[in-house]
Amino acid sequence: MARIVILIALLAVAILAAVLFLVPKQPSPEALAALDNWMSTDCAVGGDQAQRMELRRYAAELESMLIQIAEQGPPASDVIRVENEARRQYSDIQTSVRSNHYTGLPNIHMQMVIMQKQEERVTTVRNDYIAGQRSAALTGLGVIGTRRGRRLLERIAADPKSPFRDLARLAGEGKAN
Amino acid sequence: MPSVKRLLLIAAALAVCIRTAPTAMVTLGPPCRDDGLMAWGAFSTGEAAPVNYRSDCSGNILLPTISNAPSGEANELVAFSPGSGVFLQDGVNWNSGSPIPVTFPAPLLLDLRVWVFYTTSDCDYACMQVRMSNFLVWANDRLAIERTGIQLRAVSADWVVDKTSAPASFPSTIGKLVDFSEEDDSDCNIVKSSFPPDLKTPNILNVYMVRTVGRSASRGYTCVDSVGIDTLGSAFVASRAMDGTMLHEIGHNLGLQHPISDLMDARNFMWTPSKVRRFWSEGQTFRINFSDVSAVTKLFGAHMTERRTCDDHKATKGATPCPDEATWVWPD
Repeated sequence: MARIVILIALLAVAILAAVLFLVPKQPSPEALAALDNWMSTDCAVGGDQAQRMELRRYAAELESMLIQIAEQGPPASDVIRVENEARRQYSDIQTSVRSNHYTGLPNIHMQMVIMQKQEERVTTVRNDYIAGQRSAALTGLGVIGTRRGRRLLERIAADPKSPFRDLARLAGEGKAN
Repeated sequence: MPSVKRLLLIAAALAVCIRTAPTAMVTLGPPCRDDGLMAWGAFSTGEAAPVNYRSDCSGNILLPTISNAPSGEANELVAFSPGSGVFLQDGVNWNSGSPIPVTFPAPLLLDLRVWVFYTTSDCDYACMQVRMSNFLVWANDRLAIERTGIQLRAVSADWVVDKTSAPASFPSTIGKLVDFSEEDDSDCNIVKSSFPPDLKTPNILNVYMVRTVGRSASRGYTCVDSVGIDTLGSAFVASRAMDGTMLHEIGHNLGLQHPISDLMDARNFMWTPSKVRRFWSEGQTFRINFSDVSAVTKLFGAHMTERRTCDDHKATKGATPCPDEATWVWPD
C-alpha cells in the first residue's frame, strides 16, 4: 500500500514537473514592455541600441512570443484595432476628397482615392501591419540570437516560397549589431 | 479700528495693482476656429516666456499680464489657426494700448515626390500610387487640424515615381539603398554626396519607399547632416511602414528630433516608439516654420527673414527666441 502511495506521489510530481516545463511561462511585465517597445519602434534615427539591449536581456522570456509573431502575425486584437482605425481613416479621407479640404493631389490621383473601396483600403493597411509586425519579430529574433530563433530565420531564409525569405535573411545577418 | 485701516490699505493696494496691471489685446481676423497664440514680453506673473493663450471665440484674445520686455529681449507674437499659415510678428509694442491685429497667412505648400524602389507582393506600383495618395490626404488633414502652417503638395502628376525596375544607369544605388542601413554612414553618405540627380528632385521633399530600413520592413530613417538634423529633404520609409511613420520621417526633414520632454508622450508625431501619433506641440510647429534647419527655410526658402537658430529641444532666449519644443497651447 505504501509503495502505491509513493508511486502515485512520484507520478504526480512528474506530471507537475512536465506541466511546468511544457507550459511556457508568462513573460515578466518588464520583458513585455521591452517587446512592446521593440515592436512599435518605427524610426531608427538616433539608434535603437537601448531597445536591442533590452530585447537581449529578456531573450529567454521573449523568444517564444517573437517566434509566434514571426510565424503567425500579431495578436488578433491588435489586427482588429488596426482595421478599425483604417476604416475610420478611410471615412475621413473620403470626406476630405469630397469636400473643400486641401489634398495636395493631382486630379488623377484624387480620382484614384475616390474610386477606392473601403475594404481595399482596410486590406492594404491590414496586410502592411501584419507583414510589418512579422518583419519586426524576425529582426528581433536576429537581435536576441537564440538557437531556436536562428533556426527559424534560417528555415524561412531557405524557403523560396516564403514572402519573408529576404527579410529573414537580412534579420539573420543582423545578429552582431 | 486698526483692522479697518488695514482693510483700506489692502483695498488701495489692490486698486493700484488693477490700474497698473499690464494688459494687451490681440484681435484675430476670422471667426473663431480654435485659434491660439504664444507671446513673448514681460509678464507680471513672472511666468517663463512664452506664455500661451487660446481664443474664446470672440475674435479677441486678452493677454492680461503682458508688457514690453526690456531692450534686447523679445516682444514677439506667434499665432496658430487650423488650416492657416503661422503668423509671426516681431517687435510688438505691448504697451501701445491698441489691439494688435493678426491676419493669418495661407499655409505654406511643400512639394513632395515619392520614389518607389520596392513594391510588395500584395501591393504593386498601381496600388502604391493609391496608397501614397491616401497618405497625402490624411497627412494634409492632420497638418491642417494641428495648425502646423504647412501642407504637402504632389510636385507634379508623376509625383509617385516607379523605380522598381532599376534603369541601367543607377542599378547599384537602388540595389544598395533598397535595404537601407543606418548602421554605418555608408548609405547616408550616398544620399549626402553621390546620389544620382535622376533619383532626387532638388529643393523639395523626397521620400523613398524601400524594402527595409534597419533590416525591418516597418521602419523609417532620415539622414542627418553635419548639424545633427536632417536638412537634406530625403526620408527613407520601408515597404510596410504605416502612414504615421512616413509623416514622422517628414517631421525629421522639417527640423524636428525625437522629443525628450516628460510633457510629451507617444501621441506626439515625433515620439518613438509609438502606435498612436496624433499631434505636434506648438513648440514643434514653431520650429517647423522658423528653425534654420527646417526644410521650410532650408529647402523651400520660406520665412527667411524670421528664421532663427533653435536649441535642439530647449527654449532659446534673446531677441529672436524659440520656445521649448514641449510648449503646447492645446495640451488636451
